[in-house]
Amino acid sequence: VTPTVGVISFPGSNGDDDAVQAFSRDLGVSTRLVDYRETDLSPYQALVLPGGFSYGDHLRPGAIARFAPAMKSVRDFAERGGPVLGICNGFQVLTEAHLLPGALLRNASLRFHCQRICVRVEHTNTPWTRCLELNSVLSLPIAHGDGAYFADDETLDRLEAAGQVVFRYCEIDGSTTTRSNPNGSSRFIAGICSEGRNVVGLMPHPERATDPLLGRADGRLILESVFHSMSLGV
Amino acid sequence: MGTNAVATEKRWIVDVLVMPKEGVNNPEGDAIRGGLESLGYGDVSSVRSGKYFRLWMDGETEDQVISRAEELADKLLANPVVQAFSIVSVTESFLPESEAVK
Repeated sequence: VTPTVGVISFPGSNGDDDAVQAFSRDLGVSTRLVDYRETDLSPYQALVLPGGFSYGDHLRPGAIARFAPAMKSVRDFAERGGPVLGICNGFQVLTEAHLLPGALLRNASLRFHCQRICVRVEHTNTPWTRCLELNSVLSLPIAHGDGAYFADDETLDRLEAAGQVVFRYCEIDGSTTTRSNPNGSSRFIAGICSEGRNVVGLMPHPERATDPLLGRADGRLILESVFHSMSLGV
Repeated sequence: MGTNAVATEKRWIVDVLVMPKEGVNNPEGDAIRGGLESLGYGDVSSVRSGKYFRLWMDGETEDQVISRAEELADKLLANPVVQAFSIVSVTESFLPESEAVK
């Protein structure tokens, strides 16, 4: 059976088509856009919550999307161990839904950052990072105004101890400096995974870096990882 | 009861304040403080910025309305991970007759 990826499209999502294109055109994987009102997610073996500004970012980014009909099914899917990737706004939705710990606050600079950054791969044992090399540095685009990852110290310590910090902002050589942290995230955190490791959220956009024509294709390995995980039955 | 349930139900105005928790960065507040300083208000040493909501709610008693408001504030108006809310005030609002009849 060839796996099918479902990309949940909320009102105000704008990275949904990017994700569909990345999976279907660049990776050649069967992918479908899933309306936010859909509750039957049984056709999908992996789910992506895309970037954008669901519900206009009103109240807080992700706060209203969390209650979209599809989200209850996303939760069930995640609780059964299904691989879920939240990109940018999708990451914000996952934290609001408490499928991932912490929260994403306004960038420390108060500016919207649309640029290329580097992240260091901190752990590879998630379905979305299996093809990556530990401690390698990826160059990925970011585009967000609310990307400062925040959690209290106790939660941060717990995440670090459990190996749930998956990506950290860094310089091109992998070192972490204040300059390399584009939004003021706690401990340079760019991406984390759930306790069960199957839910991953990150602020950078791997789906916008899947073809050398887009500059670099470093994001490709993240998207590809999930299919390796499936063939391994993880 | 059944037919005039609407008429016996009271309407309340509930004000809810949502603020960032202590220790949570609030760059908006910092920027506002900087603005105040450049306006000559250097005596403002710190600013925290939050959100204020006014809800019009139906309910029999004040206690019932407060508990519903707390529930919805915890679920949606505030993100308990980084924000704390407080019910600032609850006042009874009298329905205009046209609304009471519906």
